[in-house]
Amino acid sequence: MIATTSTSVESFPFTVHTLPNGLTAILQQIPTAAAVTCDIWVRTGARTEPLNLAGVSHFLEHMIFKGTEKLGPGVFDSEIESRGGVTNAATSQDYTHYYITVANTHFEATLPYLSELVMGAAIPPDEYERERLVVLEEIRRSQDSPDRQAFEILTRTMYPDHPYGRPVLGTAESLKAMTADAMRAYHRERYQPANTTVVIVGGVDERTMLSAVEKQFSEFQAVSPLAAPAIPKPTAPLPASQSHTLARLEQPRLMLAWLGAPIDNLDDAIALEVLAAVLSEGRTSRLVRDLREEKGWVRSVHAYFMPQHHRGLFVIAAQADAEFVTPVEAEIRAAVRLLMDEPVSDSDLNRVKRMLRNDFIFNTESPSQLAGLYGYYSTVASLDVVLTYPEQLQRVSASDVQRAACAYLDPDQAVTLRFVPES
Amino acid sequence: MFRTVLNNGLTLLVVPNPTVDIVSARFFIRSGSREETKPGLAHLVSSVLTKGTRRRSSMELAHAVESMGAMLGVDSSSDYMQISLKCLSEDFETLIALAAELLQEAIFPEDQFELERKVTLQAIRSQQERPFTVAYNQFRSLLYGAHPYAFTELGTETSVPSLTVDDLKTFYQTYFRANNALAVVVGPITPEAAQTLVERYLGDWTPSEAVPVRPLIEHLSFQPQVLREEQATQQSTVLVGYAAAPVGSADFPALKLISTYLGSGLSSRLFTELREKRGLAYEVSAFYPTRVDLSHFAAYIGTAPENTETCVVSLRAEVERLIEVLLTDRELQTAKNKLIGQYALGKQTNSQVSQLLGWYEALGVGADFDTEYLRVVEQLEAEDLRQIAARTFRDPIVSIVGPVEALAATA
Repeated sequence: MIATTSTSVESFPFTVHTLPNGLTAILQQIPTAAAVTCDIWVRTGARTEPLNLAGVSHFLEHMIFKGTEKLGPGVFDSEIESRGGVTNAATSQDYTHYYITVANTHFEATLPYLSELVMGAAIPPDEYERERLVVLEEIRRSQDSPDRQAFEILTRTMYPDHPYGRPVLGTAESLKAMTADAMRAYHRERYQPANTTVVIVGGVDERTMLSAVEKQFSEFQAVSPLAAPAIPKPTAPLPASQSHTLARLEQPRLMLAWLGAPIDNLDDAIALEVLAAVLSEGRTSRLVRDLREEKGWVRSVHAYFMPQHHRGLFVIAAQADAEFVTPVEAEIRAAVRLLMDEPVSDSDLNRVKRMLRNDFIFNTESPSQLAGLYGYYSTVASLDVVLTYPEQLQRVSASDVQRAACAYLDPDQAVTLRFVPES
Repeated sequence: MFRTVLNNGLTLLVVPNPTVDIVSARFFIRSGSREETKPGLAHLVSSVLTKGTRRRSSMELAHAVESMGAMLGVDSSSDYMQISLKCLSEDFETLIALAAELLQEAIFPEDQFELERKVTLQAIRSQQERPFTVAYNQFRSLLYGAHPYAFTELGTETSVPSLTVDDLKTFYQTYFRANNALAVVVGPITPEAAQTLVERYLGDWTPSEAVPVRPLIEHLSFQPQVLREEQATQQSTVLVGYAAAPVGSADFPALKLISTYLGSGLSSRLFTELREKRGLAYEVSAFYPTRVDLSHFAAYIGTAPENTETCVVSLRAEVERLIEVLLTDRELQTAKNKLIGQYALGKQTNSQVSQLLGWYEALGVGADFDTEYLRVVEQLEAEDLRQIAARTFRDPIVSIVGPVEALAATA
């Protein structure tokens, strides 16, 4: 379906429907696809949690799979998988989503299980207690990964007064203090039709998709007015330079970080993506070429922008032996300074734009990729982003990029974290 | 699927797919780290391969790919190596020319070799940061002894420093030959057009009179035992593994089905018994790698230190139970539907299709193997699985990584 490199609206022939209860459905038939993906996105995540329920969105995602009054624990998994389908879910700061991918012929038999599961969570008390053990194992597992520990320290430092600074998994303490009743209340409050987008993409007739959505989701009723949680926007932390020891680390890590743009400021978000790619996308990018290929000082260096609903993170991360950490930091600062002082060359800009454009195209090949793309943008920003991204990327100029470097990436404003092995 | 063999012995597979403008092409070499004389050799060949040819420097090669926004990667694994590329169809000819240059004219510059060797040694040390990798390496090392399957692709801290540029060049000249390779193209292209391009750029690639092949393992002489490695981790990692049949064996389809039954998805036996019903873990699964030579079957779990011994006992019990107990009709049918259905879902993008076809061809079982083996899976009966479980799950190796008190509490 996405048969051309054209960036016109025709490339994404989805239709958008709003049910009377406020639920949004995004549908797209791909006649050549053998499979169909149904992906339910809920605008809830760690960002929308009260402090005393830190981790509830993620724990709830686990509990959703424990069934409803009609579906016992494990029934959903077995109904989907015994038909050869796959299912899973993910929770982030800004969203929670649940998806199934099945062969086209199983579409109508499986969608009712997914809608029942997500809307009708029963959260049985005994299952709640047992599943808490599973989430505690998930937390322990993340503590055994030095990279995840480093990332947790980074977000805590960058968002000292904002939910983005807290781990999505919550903590052992917050989970032990939480009750099943509080989780049920959170589910009622956040899982409402107006907060939910159902995306269906694949080899099923679009009218069949729409009537299935109407049938399965029309009973999903708002129980209360949807309160937007009052969350202050993050403010940039003061510039700082810190060193942390990490257990079981074999090689030091270095991170420089800034707050970037929120995703609804798409011009700046794209400029930051371009800047990250100029710095580290591919062997000819500035930092990879300088630090890995020519000087041989780093095992890896990577710049990335994480777009989020509120201001996301721009990070430059390197892994290097201890003797090189200081000179690597100086080189990174100089490279960022240069992006403020001089516009990027045409050849740099064109290369990077082509890489980003193709990445976008490469990520729209299968129904599940498309469903993820539509669901993500409509939940975190707006679906328009999917339509306008390729054009806006094409329009970015060297002066736009330089302006974004000056606005967001001043090296004197960076938070610098070093992670070193114990002892 | 279109299949042909060029005059120089190069196999070409083409699957036309006009629905997307993305071409995935892969060039497989039918030899991998299994042929190594020193651990890490094939991996280093793949790392230095793109860093200089008779015509172009490392940066010129990278620029050619990146300026088109294409993706080009080189990987080595146990039984094969590959150059993979993904691009828009308008760029395909430029990229196939570049891949052909890497396959025929790589020069392995000394400075690039030194750089990649240094980075590889850092990567080897960093493996210690991942408890699963430590547990898996410890298991493989005992199971395979001195055979190359004992080591990770990266090699070891003692083997990698001993590698030389000449080792790389010899490996390249020996195995990167037309009749030891195959090209797979999937995308909006006709078989004729693909064949014309492949002949244009790889038609002169020289074959070898005889590509050496390591003989298959006749016998593994390990003692079943419990291996322990202390790490100051929050969780213990427990892996229980057994030697298992190669891809060419009649037992292969049944072992894949057993692996699906035990470890695949949220409704798998290990997931429901150890996670859903007992809350012992977040991650618990089983895997059975597809290998030319004697493979292995393993189940693993990450658990709280105080549950270490419970998990050793439970993992072994769940696997070895299949020697005694027949799967119910429903369990058997569910496992079959899952394996066959999820396999089909894994063929949704051009690069997934090119990987599966080329992989089976490179392993020597043929690109049609997937449909053939799934047909065998459909016919399997519970008693078949029980007998093969009885042959396979005899001599367990238990590998544990965790804090000292957890190790001390294990039998």
